[in-house]
Amino acid sequence: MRAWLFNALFRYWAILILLVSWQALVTVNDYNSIVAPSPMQVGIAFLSDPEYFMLHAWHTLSSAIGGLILGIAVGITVASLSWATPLFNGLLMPMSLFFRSIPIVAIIPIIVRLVGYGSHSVIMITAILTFFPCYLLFLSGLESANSTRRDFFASLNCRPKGIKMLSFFRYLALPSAMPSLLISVRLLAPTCILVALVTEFLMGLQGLGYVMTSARSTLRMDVSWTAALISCFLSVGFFLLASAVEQKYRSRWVD
Amino acid sequence: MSAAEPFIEIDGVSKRFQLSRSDYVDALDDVSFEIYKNEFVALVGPSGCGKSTLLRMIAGLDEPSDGTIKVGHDHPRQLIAQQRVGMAMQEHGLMPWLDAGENVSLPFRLAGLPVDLERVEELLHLVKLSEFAKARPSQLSGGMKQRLSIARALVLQPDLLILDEPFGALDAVTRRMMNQELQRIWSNKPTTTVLVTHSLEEAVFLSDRILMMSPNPGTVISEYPVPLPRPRTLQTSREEGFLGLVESVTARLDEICCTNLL
Amino acid sequence: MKDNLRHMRWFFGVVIMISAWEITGNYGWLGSTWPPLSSIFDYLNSRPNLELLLRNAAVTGINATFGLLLGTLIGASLAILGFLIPRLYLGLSTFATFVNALPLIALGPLLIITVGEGATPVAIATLSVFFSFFVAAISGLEETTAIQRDVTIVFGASRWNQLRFVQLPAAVPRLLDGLKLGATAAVLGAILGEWFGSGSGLGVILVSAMQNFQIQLLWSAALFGTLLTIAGFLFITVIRLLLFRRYV
Repeated sequence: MRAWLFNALFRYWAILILLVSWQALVTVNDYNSIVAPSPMQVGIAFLSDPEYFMLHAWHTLSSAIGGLILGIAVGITVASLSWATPLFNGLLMPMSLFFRSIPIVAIIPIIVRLVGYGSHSVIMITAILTFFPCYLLFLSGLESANSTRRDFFASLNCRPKGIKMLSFFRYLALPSAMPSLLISVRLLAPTCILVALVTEFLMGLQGLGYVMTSARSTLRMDVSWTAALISCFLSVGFFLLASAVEQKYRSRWVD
Repeated sequence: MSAAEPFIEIDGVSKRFQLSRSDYVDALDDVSFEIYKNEFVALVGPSGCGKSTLLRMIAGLDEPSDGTIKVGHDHPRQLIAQQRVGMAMQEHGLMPWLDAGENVSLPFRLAGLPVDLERVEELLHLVKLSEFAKARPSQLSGGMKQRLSIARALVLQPDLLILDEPFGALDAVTRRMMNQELQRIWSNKPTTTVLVTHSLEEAVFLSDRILMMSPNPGTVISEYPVPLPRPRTLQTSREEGFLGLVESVTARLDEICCTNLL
Repeated sequence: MKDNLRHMRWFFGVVIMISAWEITGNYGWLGSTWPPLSSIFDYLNSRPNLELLLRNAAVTGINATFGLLLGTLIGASLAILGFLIPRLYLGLSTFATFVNALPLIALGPLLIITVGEGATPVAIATLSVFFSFFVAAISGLEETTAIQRDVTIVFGASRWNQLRFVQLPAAVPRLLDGLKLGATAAVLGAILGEWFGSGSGLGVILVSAMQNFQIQLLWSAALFGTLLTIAGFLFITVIRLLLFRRYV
């Protein structure tokens, strides 16, 4: 028991310092709750109306994850097509470079305008923005098989171009790309939540992003902070989950 | 043991690698020899003598710049197309996402044939890995992985077995054991085999004939028949006949290497 | 030959993309939100429009630059600290992972109170840069092999000297990569921060253009945001060229 506590302290001391200094900051400056709530006040705000927060939190989380799943599904499909026909890749590459240079926060307002306001928009926008990183990672994963394995397949007449292309894809390229898929999920976990939040913030209809912006206008900073903190929990939690999944399954696909 | 007609015919083979527009390397120059059916031939020589390049061309993975290679009157590519080639390399090349049994079954799937589970079991038994059929490669030792790799190479009963330093990554003790295992497996059902190796003891122990190559550019300069009776055991490797052969081959190798250095 | 083919594919890809953009814009296939590329240039042609965007881009640029500098400084300091005092390393790297998993936008409400609306863009930019630089710095420091380190230890070098003479020079390429990531992160953070009422900057323009259906302004602001990011890349590439003459 003691060892566990000691270990946790060793690992999380920096984060704990953050929390303690937050409480200290508020107490020392004697901020009132309109200005800056303390951790306790935030807890109280949450407990006084948990359904409100849970509802919006659910909206954010489900849109984020829905968008992520969609984005990944499209990403791996297009990557597989790209792998099969390099022509596709040649067309997509300039586009991907284009999308990568524009900051997310600039793309989202444009896409919001494009797709229109509505709850489907959050999922769509999340999907669009998670698509490209996943596409790039998966495509590189498809080509990552080492030369020994390629030679072995070649000795059995199985090459990436030719009649046996599908076998090559199924038995070598695809399994080689699985680690990339797992990595994508981990990398995009915080991204998808961020994108969902930003979209909700801009659209102002539903979700924790909306709560953050609406609470500001009603001067309920404790509500705003609560939403912000719940978002942080969701993001970190989802990231940890994705990391754990990656750790667990990675060894299956890698030497 | 060997038929009168050659199975593999290598005639005037050269290989030039173009590095850039004006730069090139001649890896092989005018190599010619023959290998008979069910003969076990070892290619030895110092680094850079082109033995692996030659092996790849015999296997059909590469084309010579000049000259011809015929395997059973066919172009090596024909054998590949008919899945008549088995290959084991220094890196085991096993798929980490498949278990041992599935790895050995993989050639069936790639050839588009139904998996012959009995055959897979037979081979796992042959390489003494039957209890590990469900184990993943990551759970096996280096020697076990190479045994699995060899089982996989033999599963489709190939007409040609290509071995590219399969035991190069193993420690000396395991290597000796593996040599004995391979000898036993091979004697069970002799197949035309070409082995590339850096170990002269290994070459003498396993083969019927040793071809020594020299570098810059790669050519075959000496040939050593190995008339030792089969089956060979570790005991054989300590006898005079064996040691004498190793000695003469080593002496020749020293000649090539040291002359080059000077 | 292979390279030429690749270049050609790229070229055609770009051409197709630009023409597709023009055509969709002109025919309004994606609605009024997707204007032809040419109309954006038309929009930028007018002086007041251009001035508006340049002014605000400058504000964002300054915020981003401060964020980049601060974030890099903090990231580097903590990475060096973690290296010099190995016991702190685990806590620091967990902290950095934690910071990275935080949604930047959630920090908005938290920061406008503590540092004020004016400084929020810089604060968010700093935090955004901090993580990517910290990770790059740590992996750069770890890159030198154990053997190299052992050699310097045997020669009696203190951890500080090891750092100075072995790790840091070796880490330079990674650090530059981290700076590049930082450039994107800084612009992103600055724009995000401006959404919390800072009054000026590209972030403000993006939001108001979106809400008021000012499509060309919206696209122009996005374009300037991209240009800022690219400017950041170029700046770092220049530094890289200057440094590499010495370190490669």
